[in-house]
Amino acid sequence: MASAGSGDEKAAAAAMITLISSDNEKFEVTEATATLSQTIRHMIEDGCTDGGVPLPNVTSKILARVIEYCKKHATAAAGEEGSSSSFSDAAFLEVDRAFLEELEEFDDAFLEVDRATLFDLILAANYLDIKGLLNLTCQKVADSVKGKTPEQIREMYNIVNDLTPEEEAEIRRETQWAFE
Amino acid sequence: MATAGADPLFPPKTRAADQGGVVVDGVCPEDGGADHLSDLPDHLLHRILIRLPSTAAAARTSVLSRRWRRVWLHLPELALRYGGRDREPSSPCPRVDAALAACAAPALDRLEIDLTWSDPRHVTAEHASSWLDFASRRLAGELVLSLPLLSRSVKRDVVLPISERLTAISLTSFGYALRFRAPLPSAAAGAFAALGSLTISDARVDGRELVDVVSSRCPRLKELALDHIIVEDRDHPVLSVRSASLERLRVRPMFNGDRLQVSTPELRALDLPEGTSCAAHIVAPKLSEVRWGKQFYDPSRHKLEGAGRHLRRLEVAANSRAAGIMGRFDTADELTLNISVSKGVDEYERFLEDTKKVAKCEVLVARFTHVMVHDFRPILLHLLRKCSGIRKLVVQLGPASSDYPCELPRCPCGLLHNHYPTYGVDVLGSLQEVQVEKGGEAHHKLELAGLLCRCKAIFQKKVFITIPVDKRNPLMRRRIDRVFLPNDDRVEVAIVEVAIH
Repeated sequence: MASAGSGDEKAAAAAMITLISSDNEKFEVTEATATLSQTIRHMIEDGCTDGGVPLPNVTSKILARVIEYCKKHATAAAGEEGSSSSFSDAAFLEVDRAFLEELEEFDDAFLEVDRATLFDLILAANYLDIKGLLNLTCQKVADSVKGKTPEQIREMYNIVNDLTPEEEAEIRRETQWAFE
Repeated sequence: MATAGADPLFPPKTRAADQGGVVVDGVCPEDGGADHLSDLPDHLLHRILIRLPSTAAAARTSVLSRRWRRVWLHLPELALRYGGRDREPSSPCPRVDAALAACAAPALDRLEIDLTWSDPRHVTAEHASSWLDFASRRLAGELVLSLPLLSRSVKRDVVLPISERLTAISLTSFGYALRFRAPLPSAAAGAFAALGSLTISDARVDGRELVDVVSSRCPRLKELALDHIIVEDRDHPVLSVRSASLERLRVRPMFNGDRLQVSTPELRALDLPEGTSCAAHIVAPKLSEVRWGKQFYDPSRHKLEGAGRHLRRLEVAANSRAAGIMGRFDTADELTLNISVSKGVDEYERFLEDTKKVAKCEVLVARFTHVMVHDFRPILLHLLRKCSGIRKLVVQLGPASSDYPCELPRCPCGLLHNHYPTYGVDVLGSLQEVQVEKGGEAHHKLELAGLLCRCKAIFQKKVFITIPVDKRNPLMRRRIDRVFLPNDDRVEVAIVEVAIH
């Protein structure tokens, strides 16, 4: 079983990749960290990462956060390879579970950001194709909407209701099944 | 429910500006009223909406604004869940029908209809069949359908049309009979060409039809789970599984089957979580993982052909007649023994008898699956004597009964010599790692630590021990430290702090 720490030593010896943000800041990261992004993985596979990878859609502020996420989860990915539980409901080995809990705590803390940053992270995760980060951030938005009335959602996200009362009544009729 | 104005997490907009981006436990309102959410492209909104508790919640966003009116219609995944603790007065079926009728996505990735806790009088077989029909036409992915409990006397047929594009099917339909139908009238046409995983729970199936579908119409089927099904067959209720592609098979006991017949050249994992009470004939030459629950294994009734004597993984209820399977598979890389010894001297002695022969293994997982009645230490020592060649030991303790440990006179679990690690075993020559899992009570982990410490004398290699302790309980950590310290050339202990709820 690979322990949580073993990923670091391996990563230290691995190739480094330079990521360049839209405001021209350079970030040096390991390949293991960078390839959590499918977009970057494909660029590496195509051999077009010499001289750095320009990411014109991501600011340095957001890229720094994304890299923070990838670093943490790259270690996790390295740890996961060794642990395959045979039967789906069999208990996972304990150290892994402890590590997963730590990862969850990291994710929770990671999501403590203001709303503009959260949406920037969604767009960056989408552009860089980082599935875990995209799911995490989308879940955060979904959780914030959960159990809220349309009025509350509008208020929360500054959504301007441009429907006439007649239109709104019509939509409610169409989707009556969902309001019952 | 709190109104928007009273919700402390989301203060009204007028106050948001004053807060200037300070995080208020979650998504924080700020920056002058920009509508970031509506600005997202549809496919990202879909990602968010499919994470709501149900498609109904997603559909209610249609009244937010003009932008939102048609967003939910193209959701790639639908989840329609009705029923629950308080049964609803009206039928959920029209709502499911309306949602499916409104769906505009050309091909869905996932459709889940969960009516497990709905009133069965409201859910007709015709409805269920029409949803399956919808799934066969519109779904290119995973189907999950759970119907409510029907009384046994009622018999209703639910028809699943054969579909080329379904990748996974899970059907829980208490009491309903599942029928398969080819999309065309000619019986020869059609196959579940993309189907990789099929789970059928609590349904009646026609034995012959199931054989036909699994063996000749599921060319890519890798996983099959049949849980508590009722095999309908005129004469012999035989459950037969033949598949050239199947790799994993799970069978939970049938209600009426008297034979299980499996012929699977590619099968790797056979999972019988409760064992099997009926006769079984299993041909699986590539078998490498087996779980056999507590119903007994009898070599004369349970034939496992083609497989060798070694498994990668074997999991068995240790204290039961099922333990006899370790006569069939006598070596394994990893052996999991699920231990649950009931109260009484006889019960303990039967456990000793059942575990007289334990498969030779490299990793032993000793898992106390139920309330512990007898002292766990002599049980562990007994198993260590049987498995003295292991490299790694994993222990998961269970909760203790109110009268733990057993104080019956004459119970072997209380005999002093059964607590001596050196009794009956000279050395643990290969042991290098002991991993204690979360679970069980803190002071039992301490006792386990003490036991391992006493075993030091028979360790030959340096043994690394990990013990989880509750991070809110620093006392525990100090007490374990006291048992072991200082680490020496025989033992090294790592204490892992975990959140124990």
